[in-house]
Amino acid sequence: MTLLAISMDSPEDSRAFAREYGIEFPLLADEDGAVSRAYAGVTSDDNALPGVTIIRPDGHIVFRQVASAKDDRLSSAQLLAAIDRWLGTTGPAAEVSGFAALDRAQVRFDAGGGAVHDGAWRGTADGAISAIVPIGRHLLVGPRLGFEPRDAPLSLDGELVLREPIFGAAGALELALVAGYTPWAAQGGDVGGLAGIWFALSPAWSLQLQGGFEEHGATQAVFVTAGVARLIQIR
Amino acid sequence: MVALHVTTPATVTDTAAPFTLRAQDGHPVTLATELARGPVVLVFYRGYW
Repeated sequence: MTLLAISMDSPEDSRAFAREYGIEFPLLADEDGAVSRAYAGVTSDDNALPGVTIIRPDGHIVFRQVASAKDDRLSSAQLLAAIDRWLGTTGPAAEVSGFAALDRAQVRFDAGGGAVHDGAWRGTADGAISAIVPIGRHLLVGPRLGFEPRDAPLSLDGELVLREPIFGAAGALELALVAGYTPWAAQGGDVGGLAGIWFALSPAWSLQLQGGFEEHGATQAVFVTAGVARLIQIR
Repeated sequence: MVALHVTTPATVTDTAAPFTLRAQDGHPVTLATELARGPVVLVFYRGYW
């Protein structure tokens, strides 16, 4: 889609206008008013009426609006809505930014349950506190403290998260690799994987749902947790 | 629902009038050339004052 702004100003005046407001799209000079007269009309004192015309590639006008008074001018949101409505099938819709949570660090508190296999499957509780920091749009890293009372009351892990943003920038689907050390019970190295989804409820808080598995020495655990996260603006 | 003040009802039978106008950098811009690349939105404004 091409945006062309048209006034009866000279190119020199338009250049000053563009420089003052940092405008990068074309400001066209309709100095004799012929184009303004054909599309939007002019007032009795020969000023162009503000207006918007949306034209399909085949030359057909699909939307026309003329502001006969100052208050009739379309707001930016109204203009975007009109463009979406009339050209929406030929271009992507404007991205919903949600709470723009993608660039925020998260301190997560998760709790849930699962099962541990140490000869036989037995139920257990599971939980974690983790702090993850975004490195770009698709990657996060951070420390994680895991809690699972049956075979790993505490695990000290690092977490590497791959994510795909959803709902604009307000949430993500995630796959995570967790690896670290379990100092007690199933003592030794541990490794695991997680899949999850989260969504920002506000600029400060999000909800997440995760499922995964973890291996602590000779035992295996599967679990599902739900939790909240504090979102922290870091830049 | 956003209310729009449409004072001139447009229909898809209206065809855009051709024009060529100079941009702020002095280069001519032709509507037909821009339409060859995709849809065009014209915004008429009062100018710089």
